[in-house]
Amino acid sequence: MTPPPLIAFAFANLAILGWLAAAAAPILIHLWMRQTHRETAWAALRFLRAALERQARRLRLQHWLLLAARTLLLLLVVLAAAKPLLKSGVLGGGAPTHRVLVIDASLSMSAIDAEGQSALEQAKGLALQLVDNARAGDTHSLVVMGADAGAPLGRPTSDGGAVRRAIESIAPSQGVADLGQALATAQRLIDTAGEIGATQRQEVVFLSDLAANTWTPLAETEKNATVEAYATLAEGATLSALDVGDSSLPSVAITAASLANGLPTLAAPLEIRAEARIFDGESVERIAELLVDGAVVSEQRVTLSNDQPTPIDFVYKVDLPGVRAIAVRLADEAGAEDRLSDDNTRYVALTLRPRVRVLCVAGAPGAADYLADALDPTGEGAFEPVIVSDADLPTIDLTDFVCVFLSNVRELSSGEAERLHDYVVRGGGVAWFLGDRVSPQRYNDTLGPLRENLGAGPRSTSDLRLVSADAQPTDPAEPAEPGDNSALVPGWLSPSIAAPSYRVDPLDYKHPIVRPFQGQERSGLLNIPVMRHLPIELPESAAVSVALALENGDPLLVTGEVGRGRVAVLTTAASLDSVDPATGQAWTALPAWPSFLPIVRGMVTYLANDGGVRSLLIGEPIEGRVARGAVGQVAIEDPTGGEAGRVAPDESGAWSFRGAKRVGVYRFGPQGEPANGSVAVNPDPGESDPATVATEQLPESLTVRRVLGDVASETVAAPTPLHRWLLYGALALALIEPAMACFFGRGNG
Amino acid sequence: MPQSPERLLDPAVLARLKGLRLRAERIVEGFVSGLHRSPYQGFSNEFAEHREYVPGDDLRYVDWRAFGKSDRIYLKRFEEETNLIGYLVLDVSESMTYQSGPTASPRRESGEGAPMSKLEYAQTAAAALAYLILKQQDAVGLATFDDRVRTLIKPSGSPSQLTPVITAISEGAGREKTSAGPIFHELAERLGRRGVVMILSDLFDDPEALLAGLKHFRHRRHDVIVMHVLDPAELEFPFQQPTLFKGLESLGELLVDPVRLRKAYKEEFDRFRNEVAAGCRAQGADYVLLRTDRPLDAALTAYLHQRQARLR
Repeated sequence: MTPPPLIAFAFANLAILGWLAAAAAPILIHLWMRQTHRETAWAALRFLRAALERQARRLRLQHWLLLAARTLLLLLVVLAAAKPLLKSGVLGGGAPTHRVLVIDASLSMSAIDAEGQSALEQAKGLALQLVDNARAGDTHSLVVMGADAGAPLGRPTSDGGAVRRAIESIAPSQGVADLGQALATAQRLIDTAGEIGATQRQEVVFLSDLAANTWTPLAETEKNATVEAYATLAEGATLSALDVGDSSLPSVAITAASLANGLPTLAAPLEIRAEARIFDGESVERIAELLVDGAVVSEQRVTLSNDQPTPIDFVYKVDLPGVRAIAVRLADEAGAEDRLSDDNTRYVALTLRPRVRVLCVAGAPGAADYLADALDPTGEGAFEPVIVSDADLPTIDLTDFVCVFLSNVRELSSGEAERLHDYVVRGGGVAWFLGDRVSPQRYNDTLGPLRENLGAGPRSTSDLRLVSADAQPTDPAEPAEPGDNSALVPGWLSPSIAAPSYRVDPLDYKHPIVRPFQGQERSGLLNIPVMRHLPIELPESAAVSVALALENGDPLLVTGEVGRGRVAVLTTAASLDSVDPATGQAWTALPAWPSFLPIVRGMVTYLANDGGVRSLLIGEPIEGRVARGAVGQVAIEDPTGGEAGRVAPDESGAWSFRGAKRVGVYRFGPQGEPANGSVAVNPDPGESDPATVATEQLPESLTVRRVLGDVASETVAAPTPLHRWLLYGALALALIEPAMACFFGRGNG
Repeated sequence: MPQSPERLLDPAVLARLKGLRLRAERIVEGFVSGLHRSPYQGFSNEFAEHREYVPGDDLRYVDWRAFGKSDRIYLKRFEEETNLIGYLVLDVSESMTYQSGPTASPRRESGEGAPMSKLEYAQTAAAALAYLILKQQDAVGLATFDDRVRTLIKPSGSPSQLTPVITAISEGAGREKTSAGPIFHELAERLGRRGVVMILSDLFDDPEALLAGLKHFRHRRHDVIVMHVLDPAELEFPFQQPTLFKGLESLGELLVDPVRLRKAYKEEFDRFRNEVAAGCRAQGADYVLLRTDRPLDAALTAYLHQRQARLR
């Protein structure tokens, strides 16, 4: 059964409605007139009474007709002043309408109701009804919000069949709706329709669940791009929104998943940590599964609480090296209600190596021995240090190593520096361990940051140094962007000084390298003796941070970010071979100190940048970098194993792929070669939250209607202004009323 | 400067004259000199005696034989004329006190209402008639009534009869309803010799009972003249604004919009008047409408012309 069409009114000037009380004026005047009548004695009363009895019905009818006409006249005038808008297509409008249908196809629109119908299906159904009920001369445009955002039709069309086909072909996406982009697209379509000039009215109808994740930017009080785009759109079009999200089912979701331990290797089991939540429901028990490359390898029963995220931990040892797709999933159990199923799985992509290889470059014989021992004291651990001399560095393929340690290396040539820089920018890690052979001047010239970026020190434009041959000169007036600092050494080194320090400041254990020492005061971190070090002057950049400091405040361990990679500097030596000539003592006892091993291992983990585990949200581009000129095309493989696309790296070797529209693990590598990299693409956790935006926070010009069931599409037509018709009615009454009064009076006189 | 007799007969002028007797004298003098004939000429046709001719007398009744013998002009007098008894029946009920004000008669040229109440108009007419009848040496009697007979003066032809008659006529109005039908029955029984019964009333009573009473008069062989005294407002209902009509004779009150009700009221009122007039005619009684805003002689003249024509 089709419910009767709904008719609703809105008023542009609501305050005017207070004047509706004026409609009582004729009644009040009538009552007042009764009080102000004349009086006279009368003898022939019985004839008057007889006449009255005979005419009573007709007189009463005439009286009420006149009173109704006068009251209605005032009502119409007041209502017209209030500018009512009829939110129904009952009256329609005479002018041809260009209607832009904006359909939300984000992940949250895949939520189903008790009958199993998704919000997107409901939105598409309503959109089809709108098209079917369009009047002759109407045109339509279609905008899709979500991972496949865009305008499928390209331009306004009056071809109803084409519009219907375009609507029917909209597929649910797992991405986030970009409202700002949709508004801009709608604006473009309206401008196009205006240029065509075939239509006089412009309407934009949003069909969405009004999820807070999508609509909050429009509800913000501060101006932003979305609010401004909406305001521009509202100037030339009537806007309305149909709220199609109405599901009473609870929703469960995995909202986070990551690798808990550092570098994933075959030598150690993986520690996976995930979080699960339930929305709009009571606590419920569900089965959580761990999947490796699509196969369930472990499961556990968890209780999802509705007040806080439920942590889920898996420990599992994978024996197969290479790119692995790890997933944590809430099992699909029979009878378990869930509004949205696409958010029940979250992926982690990682590259498992048999051992983590670290290149240790020794600037002097034995300079890297302590480092190598710290990384692999037994020869069977997860780390595999490879010691080479600085003279061998140009011949080493750096891509085999997760990071490069350079210990007491005097200097690097510009070519070596360029190669190392390229390696770091692509995601590699470089750590500098200083010593008595280090030339701070050469480091500063070849590897250090621009002098302009330093917080102090002489300002000299001649201090430009070449990091790589293709590095672009940087505008001196422009401060370095965080995360894009091209300096391999994140500070300006000064010649070494003898400043004995017997205490180390952990700086509240904020740095990830030092954080494991928190609460372990007897682990030998705080009392590292440092006799000599190279002071380092740091730039004012968020990409640079100090992990440890000496007694006098000088940084001891500094880290920085370069491209997608990381760099670190230990301002003292990593071996006992650097000796202070004045005292004959080693620069520091750190290499023999108990904290040296965890510091070195922590540096590897940190520099490897989460061990190569990468995760993106749907809609974010997959980016990478290959050796310049080495690869013609990069092939991207989708989660199902099919080819998602190919991209050509630019001149610098950087590439970007925007076609990741499904959740899962994407693998990529040079065209024709096995994939050597991977990235997990996950849904936005915000899409799992069924919270909707408060309609009262949305602009008043946006008419929001909640659609329940199969409401006829005409109920969703844009509001039709009625004030003109009301004024016509008032004018007609103003002419009719005197005629009525005259006719009634003459008829009785 | 003396006023013309016609002017004296204007009710507005009469209303300003003090004393009913004075009004009656002025009316009769003006009336007679204006018409040059007696208003009661031709009431009977049985010869009884001669009387001397006076200007205005109908030459048809000159006794030429007597003129040849005595060289003086005499008129032949008839039996009944000499024995004419006029019975004045005056309605003094509360409804007769109605007098429309100026607001009730906006259409009048003077912008004023009726110059006198129905009762005053009827009193003036009754006094004038009594004066006339007595001046012709006929007998006149009087009865006043509302819901009962208030005064009953037996007829007499003595000139001194005028004083008690006018005194009785001058008495104020009653406070009771018109109850003409039963009263007429009562009077028909109580009045003596047959004569001319002149009824002055607004007749605001049940027409059926009223006509039954008149029939009783006719049954007693009285000649009946019904003088229907009405205010112009009662005939035209000229009110314009919403008005609360407070009924006389305890008939309650009504708040109405007169403009809307005028047509229906006039239809009701005309139906009543036509019914009374038709009833009078059916019983051989004369019906004379007296509007209180019109000169008294105009209505009387019109009536007498009709009566003369009928008798000829």
